[in-house]
Amino acid sequence: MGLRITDLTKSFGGLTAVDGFNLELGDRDLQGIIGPNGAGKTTVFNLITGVYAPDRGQIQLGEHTVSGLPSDAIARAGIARTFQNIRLFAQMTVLDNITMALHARAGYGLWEAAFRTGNFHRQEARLLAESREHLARFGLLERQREQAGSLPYGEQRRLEIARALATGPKVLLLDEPAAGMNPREVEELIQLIQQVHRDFSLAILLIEHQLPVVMELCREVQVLDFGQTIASGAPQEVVRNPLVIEAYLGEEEAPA
Amino acid sequence: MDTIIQQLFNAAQLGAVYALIALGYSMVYGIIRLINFAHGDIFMLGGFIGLLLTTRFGWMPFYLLLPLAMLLTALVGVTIERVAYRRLRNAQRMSVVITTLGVGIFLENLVRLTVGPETRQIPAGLPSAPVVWLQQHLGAFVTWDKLLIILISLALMAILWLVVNRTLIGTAMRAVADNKDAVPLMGVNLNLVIAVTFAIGSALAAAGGIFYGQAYSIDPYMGIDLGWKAFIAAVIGGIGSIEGAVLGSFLLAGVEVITVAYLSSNLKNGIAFGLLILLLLVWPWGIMGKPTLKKV
Amino acid sequence: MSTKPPPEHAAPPPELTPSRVRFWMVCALILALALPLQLSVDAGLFPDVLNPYYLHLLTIIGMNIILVASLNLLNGYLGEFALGHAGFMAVGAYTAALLATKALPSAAALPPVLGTCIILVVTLGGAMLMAAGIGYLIGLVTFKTVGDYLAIITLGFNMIIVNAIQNLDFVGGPRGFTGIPKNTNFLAVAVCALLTLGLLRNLIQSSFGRVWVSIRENAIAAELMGVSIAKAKNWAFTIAAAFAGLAGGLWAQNQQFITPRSFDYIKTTEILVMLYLGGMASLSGSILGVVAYTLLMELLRNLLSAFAPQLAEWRMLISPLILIIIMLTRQTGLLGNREWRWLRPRQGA
Repeated sequence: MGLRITDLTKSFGGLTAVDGFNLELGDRDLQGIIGPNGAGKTTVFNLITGVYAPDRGQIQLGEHTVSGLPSDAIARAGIARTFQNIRLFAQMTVLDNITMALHARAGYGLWEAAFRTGNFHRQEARLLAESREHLARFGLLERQREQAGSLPYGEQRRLEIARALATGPKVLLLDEPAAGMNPREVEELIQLIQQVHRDFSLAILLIEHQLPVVMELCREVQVLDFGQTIASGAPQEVVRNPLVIEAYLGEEEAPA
Repeated sequence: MDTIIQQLFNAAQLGAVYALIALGYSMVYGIIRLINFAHGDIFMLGGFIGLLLTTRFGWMPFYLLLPLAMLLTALVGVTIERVAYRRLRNAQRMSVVITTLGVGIFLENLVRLTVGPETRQIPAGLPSAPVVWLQQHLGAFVTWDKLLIILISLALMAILWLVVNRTLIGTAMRAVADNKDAVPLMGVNLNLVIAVTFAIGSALAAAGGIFYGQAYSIDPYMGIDLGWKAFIAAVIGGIGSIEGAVLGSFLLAGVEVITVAYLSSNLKNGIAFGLLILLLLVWPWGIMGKPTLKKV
Repeated sequence: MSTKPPPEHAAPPPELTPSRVRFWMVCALILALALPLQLSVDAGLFPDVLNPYYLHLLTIIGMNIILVASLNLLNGYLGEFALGHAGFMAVGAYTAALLATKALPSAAALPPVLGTCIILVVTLGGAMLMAAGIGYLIGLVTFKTVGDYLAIITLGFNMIIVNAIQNLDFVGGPRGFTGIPKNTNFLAVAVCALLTLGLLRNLIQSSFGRVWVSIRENAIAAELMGVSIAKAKNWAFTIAAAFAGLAGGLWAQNQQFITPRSFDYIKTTEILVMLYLGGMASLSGSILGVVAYTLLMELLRNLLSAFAPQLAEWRMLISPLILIIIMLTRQTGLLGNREWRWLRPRQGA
């Protein structure tokens, strides 16, 4: 199992947003992609999750080729993600955000739902119990009845990660999870990701703008600039790479 | 041969009226992404304002009456935008669309209750003699009013094109269509731009209403049917695009005239909507529309 | 996983009557009132108090509740903007009318109550199936369109359906379909409305409903959680169309005369007004919207004609004004996103 990407390429108009991207993400790996704004990081995620169809290249999840499949099929194959700008189901309750994610394992059909058969009640009770257990693992159980959109920012991030994990993915993609967080929240987030990585049997691919997060979490990182990988390797080495320093110095935010 | 040319003129006349309405839909949609369901009823209202003016001020020549009716209708359009739509500019889009539906029904019922539900014709303001030249050279029977309606409509569209592409306010309109949020930062008065758009759209619709009332007839509910046809035309052409609205209008009118001439007038609406659905399936953004990229 | 402060909100007290039970209680109550009401009006009892016209109004309310609640599934829960509901209603009405006049024996030839029940089940079932089939097809065709374009296409189908019926001679074409037997009454409509509300509530408070609402809330996120949006939308369209067909079937067999024009854009708009008055994503809102709108129109009619008979027509001007005022002042409608207790989901199983 794991994710293997070869020669992934996508252009919009004349601009090549992602150019020959390769990735080898093992079973329980935790890797990062860093790079300045507009480097094509989120586009990589959008290509992996089928939001955009790649112009060239292949994405394999274990034995299966997922590139070219529609988003929902890719998600069902076992790739879940979070979004840079949080995309919760804001008006649904915290609990329903999780229960909804279990839809593929609902275990009842339309007629059973419409007429509330015994099986419906059994399965629904199971879904509810599973969701609550899941929420409890993320410390969100006491928020279950609140609207997801009314949670504080840090908890929305946590709920989004919890929701992605509820689908039972083999690969989790996190798109700038630390964006907009204060240092204390970032610290909590790092612990959360480490815990998720330990407790759930999956691989994690992380996009991050803030280098400390990646330095602490990832064994290996790739640096993207203008759609191309300009460096890869252990984070401590990569940040010393002159190309990387140059790419980051083009921005107001220098590497830490 | 002669009937084909006559049909061509019929289609051109109907297409011109559609275009005058479709432009209002398209411009408003282009600028604030709103389907203004009341626009068809503005067209109807324009026709009735024209009727009122001709019956009350019969001495007024057509070249005075038309701009006056356009002006009055433009005032109504701007007022509606000011009173109802502006407050909803940042609201959920569905609420605004529903509001326009409500405004449309309000206008329909207002005219029905004040003027009456009867079908009326606007007394001729344009000469209705046949165009001799066309009769002699092409053997086609085309009246002057038909020709003038087509020509004046085309002239109005040309003026619109110049306003949008060659004036300051037109540049501002295109800027708003491009990015509504950035425009106030550049010192453009967003409210003014939107008001002008509504004014122009309503004025053109009024011209369409008066032409339609001369060529055919008007009634309080005509805005539903014709408004929708014009809207289809705008969508077919690619809503938001001026050229597209005109192109779509003449295309739709052509299809309709052919349907009536060679199939059955009963099938007119069905075929118009069938064409719409077919085209949207092939070109989801219309012929001249631009596809939008999904943002994640 | 992390240590959290103690819960800020204590769990709500356990409910004395679960909503499931409360729903059946409400049903029983309504039917317990409807049955004697229907029987007394039929028997002509208390003619001074029980005006058959009131029963007629209640019947209209019941049919409109079915229409509005099922449209709420699309426009409220799924968050789409469907504008063709009257088209599905037309399909149901004409199907039921055809079945009742051409395919089935008249109720007089069958045993009294049972015969009418059989006729109703067959005609309404046929109406629902036919409308669902058309809804399914339209859903298939429109699976890629969203937002404004979906609105246009659904309205386009509404007009095509009406236009097609106008061109079908064997159902009377533009002149309409006459001579439909009156197989429904208030009681039958009340049963159908309660059935609709119950089934819709069950679906909305299931995995299907959660998926629909998630599409409304964030379609991209829902898709990336493995939801096939096309499939989920198509289910919603089919179900909503089926119930609109049910309302149409009842309508035809209540009015006994239908014309294509009674199912055009104006009818769709009327359904929309009641829907938005009541509020989106709320079945309680749908009920309240229909009742409030119908009563308001009646009240206005009586009030205005008290001044002068010809003024009664002016209420047609007031209903769009109400719609505009709701949108300007209270966009969620009377009960947007809220439910009465008997329609609410179970709080914690």
